[in-house]
Amino acid sequence: MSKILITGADRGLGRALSEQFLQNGHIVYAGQYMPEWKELDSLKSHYPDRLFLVPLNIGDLSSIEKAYGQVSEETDSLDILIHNAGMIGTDSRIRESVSQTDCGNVYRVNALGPLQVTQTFLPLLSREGGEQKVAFISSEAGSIALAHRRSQYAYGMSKAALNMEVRILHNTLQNMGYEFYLYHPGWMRTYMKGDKATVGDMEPEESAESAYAFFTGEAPTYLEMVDVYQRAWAF
Amino acid sequence: MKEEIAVLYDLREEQRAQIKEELEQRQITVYEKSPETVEECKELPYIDFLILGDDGMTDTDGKITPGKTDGAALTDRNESLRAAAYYDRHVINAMSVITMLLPWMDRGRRKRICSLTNVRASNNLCYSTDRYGERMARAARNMMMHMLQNELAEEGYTFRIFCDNGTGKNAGSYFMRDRSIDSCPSHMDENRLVMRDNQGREIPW
Ligand SMILES: NC(=O)c1ccc[n+]([C@@H]2O[C@H](COP(=O)([O-])OP(=O)(O)OC[C@H]3O[C@@H](n4cnc5c(N)ncnc54)[C@H](OP(=O)(O)O)[C@@H]3O)[C@@H](O)[C@H]2O)c1
Repeated sequence: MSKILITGADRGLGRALSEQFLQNGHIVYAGQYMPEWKELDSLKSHYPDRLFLVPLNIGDLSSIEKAYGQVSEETDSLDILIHNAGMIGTDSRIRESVSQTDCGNVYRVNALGPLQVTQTFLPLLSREGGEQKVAFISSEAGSIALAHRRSQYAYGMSKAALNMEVRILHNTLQNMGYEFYLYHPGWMRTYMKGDKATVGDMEPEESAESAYAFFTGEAPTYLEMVDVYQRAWAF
Repeated sequence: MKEEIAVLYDLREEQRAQIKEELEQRQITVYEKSPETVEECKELPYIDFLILGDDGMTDTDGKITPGKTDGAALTDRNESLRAAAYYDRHVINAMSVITMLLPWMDRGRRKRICSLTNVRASNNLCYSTDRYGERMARAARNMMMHMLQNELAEEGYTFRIFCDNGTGKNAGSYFMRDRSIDSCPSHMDENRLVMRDNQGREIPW
């Protein structure tokens, strides 16, 4: 039985991942950003002993530290840290003037949030005998080589930066036994644009199944971004 | 032929003279601007080349202290504050300058946007354990350049990314040179954005 912390677990892929790990018998600390959204509560009623709700805004250092305080009171170790929380920002193009505020906010959540959460939670992950896995939900939108978008600058730039961050973390921590998983979940029908998307290639549950297999499967020997169909993406 | 105008924005001290010289050898009129003076570009009739530098991103300039080495950055709470500062300067500022000057570039003949960076922008060639903020911002700026190309190439814009070794050598000549054989569209190379160093080598993203 592994212990997993998942950020942005209220809905979409984060909720689906939480359920996937719970169904497989693990203990989940679910980062809760939207207490008004009740899906995690209903999951909690099914798994009262193995699901712990942890208020967590990854864009706010004091919230991250509070969350660390709560989790470290419940447990002295974590096996897997899954950085899932993310936001997409606006769609605008350069001629419509891309909002600087939007770019800053999206960067602080999608790129700097995972750095601060990793920094904070490392002590719980470093226990001897633990799995020492750190997983990041990135996106094809962060692949510079394959970039095809003409809008969503804030999002693409933040995910390219996230990929670089994971590279440096990997360089730093791999020798100490840590394993890094960089995952593009595919085009899912989630809530990234506010309401539940009606278009997309799959439901988040399908992607969560593939992510579960990736994160709990054979350790990757080198860093690559793997998608929901197990394909590797160029940086 | 109409005079060609280049704006050098936010270049590092040690690159400036070299790049300016390479441009002036090609009869380009050069205006150097900093974040404080860039608004003055609005007085120009048009702009052919906009060259975005990477001042404030290195060890020596003392503006933002880079992260500590050997993983120490991981325990240093200020790393993410520095990372935010790097991003604001290298990416957000550059983007707002592009947005502001696009109408002037639309009136220019060459319509070329160039970015100065260094190999620390390459994810594939990164073996280091330091400088999170700097490297992340450089990667983000490369993505910005790629997305600009996706958006503006069809309007005749072209793009260059140059990995400098700190001297600016060959940057100006790389920025000016056309990569496509214009009379032979099947060899058009402008649709593929690459990052090159001062030996002309392609650096992976
Ligand atoms: N959907 C896709 O097709 C797709 C494709 C590629 C990658 N991804 C990535 O997949 C991950 C999960 O996204 P999703 O598709 O499941 O979207 P989602 O349904 O919007 O779920 C993301 C969750 O993260 C939350 N969140 C936003 N900012 C946060 C913060 N500062 N702290 C903590 N939580 C925060 C969101 O809350 P709010 O709803 O209030 O913002 C939401 O509950 C993201 O990293 C996303 O970039 C998604």
